[in-house]
Amino acid sequence: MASSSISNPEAGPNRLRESKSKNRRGIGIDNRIEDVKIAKTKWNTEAEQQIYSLKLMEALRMTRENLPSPAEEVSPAGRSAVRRTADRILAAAARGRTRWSRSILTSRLQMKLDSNRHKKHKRLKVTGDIRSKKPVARKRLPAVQQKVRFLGRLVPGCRELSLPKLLEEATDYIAALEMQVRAMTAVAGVLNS
Amino acid sequence: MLHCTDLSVLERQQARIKWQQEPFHQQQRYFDENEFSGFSGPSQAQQFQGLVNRDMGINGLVKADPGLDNGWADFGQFDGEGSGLGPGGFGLGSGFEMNYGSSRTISCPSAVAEVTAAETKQRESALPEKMSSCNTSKDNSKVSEVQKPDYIHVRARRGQATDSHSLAERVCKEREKISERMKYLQDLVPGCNKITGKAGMLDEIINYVQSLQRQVEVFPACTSNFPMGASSEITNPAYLQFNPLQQVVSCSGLEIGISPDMAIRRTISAPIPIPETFLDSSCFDQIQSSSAWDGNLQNLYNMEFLQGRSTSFPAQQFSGIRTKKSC
Repeated sequence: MASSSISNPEAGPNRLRESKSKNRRGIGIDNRIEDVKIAKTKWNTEAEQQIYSLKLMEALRMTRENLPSPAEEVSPAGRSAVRRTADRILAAAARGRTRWSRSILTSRLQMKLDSNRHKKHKRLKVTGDIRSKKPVARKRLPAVQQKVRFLGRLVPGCRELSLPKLLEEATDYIAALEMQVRAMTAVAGVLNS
Repeated sequence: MLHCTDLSVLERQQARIKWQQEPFHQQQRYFDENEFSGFSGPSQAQQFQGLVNRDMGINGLVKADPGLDNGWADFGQFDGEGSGLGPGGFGLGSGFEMNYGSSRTISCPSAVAEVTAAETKQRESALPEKMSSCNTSKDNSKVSEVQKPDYIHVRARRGQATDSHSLAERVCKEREKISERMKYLQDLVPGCNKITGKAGMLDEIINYVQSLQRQVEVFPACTSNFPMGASSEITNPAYLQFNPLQQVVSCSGLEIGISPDMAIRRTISAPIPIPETFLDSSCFDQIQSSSAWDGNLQNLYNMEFLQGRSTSFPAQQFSGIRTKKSC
């Protein structure tokens, strides 16, 4: 999987630091808790925001040049292009240490590949025997589990993840999104004044 | 590299040792499992970290992809030892996963999937009972899966014992992890201090993430004129710093009740400026500055319409989730 190959280098440096003294499980937990702790501070710094704003301006300028007409800016297609650009810059700012950032960065690749191959395949959900004519009753998941799944769908690249990992990713994602919104409003304020 | 035959031989040896220790029905199961272990041997080595999936009633199991990655690193370490139950055992483990419930959210490579498909037929009958596929010696690598009565699934990693005490301990640690992370999220998401319980917290988190994502979408509509010439201004960092402060001041002054949802949030989290109001203030600043009104008016109407539409969503979502809770 692409994600596994990309995330291997991430596992490397973290492990090298502490692998000599602690066992694997200890490393896993300690790393994650540290990551969670510094996630908030990392995204809160002014420096990050400024870097992000600068990159955002550059990328938006390039996106704007690529738009076919000026009217397309306010169209949904133009807006989603801007949003995708902003998300990609955000993911790049995360330096690929988190799952959602890697997923965002690779998703564009996947989209291109799919469009090239014209892949059209639906995901068939096989519930029970295909030949049986009776409708198979869908098991309703309990509320908490439903929400966990929903959250997994919201955070990019975290559909099937265990709960603690999902919460970590969500923490980082929320911090990053907040920074994105702050930077964007700052930029918007500058532009509008 | 580990070979298929080595694995099976080692496993059989371990099985023989184990038979003396454990009751018969478990041994029988292990013997069955042993048959299939060879298939998923070296080529499909997968490593699972300790997984916890808190289920209230379902038995779906979720596999972490980063677990794979960490596993590869581990596997490199253990390679020379020839402790071969790892890959075979994990193939078994994933087979157990496939049994549980209808939510089969595992992304396994195809070979493992075949093995698990073969195993599922055998495992149906033995499902409710406690299963452990490995012996209890600590130096051999193994995987075990225990179905606890409260449906927290813990998967042991290599080199970990499978007696009930350590498993219970591990479950507690997993719970600890989850609660710790929920606490961090509570700090991050405004308005979660009063809410206790996972369901409510998850609701809030979901809503917050959705609202943040929506804001990112609305942003381009808010800026009517895009940066083409004013690059020097924008790149001035001091200027960038200044504006958010201004907006905080202005938004705290503005009382814009767009939806009852927002109003509730505002009362709960007063000190923290809510991100939605940022956007409102920036757009209303446009009105107040009254420069090039006619050109921007159309955009404003579009944007307001968008806002009205987008902010009605949280109310719907909220009610949607609430109804789900009730049933």
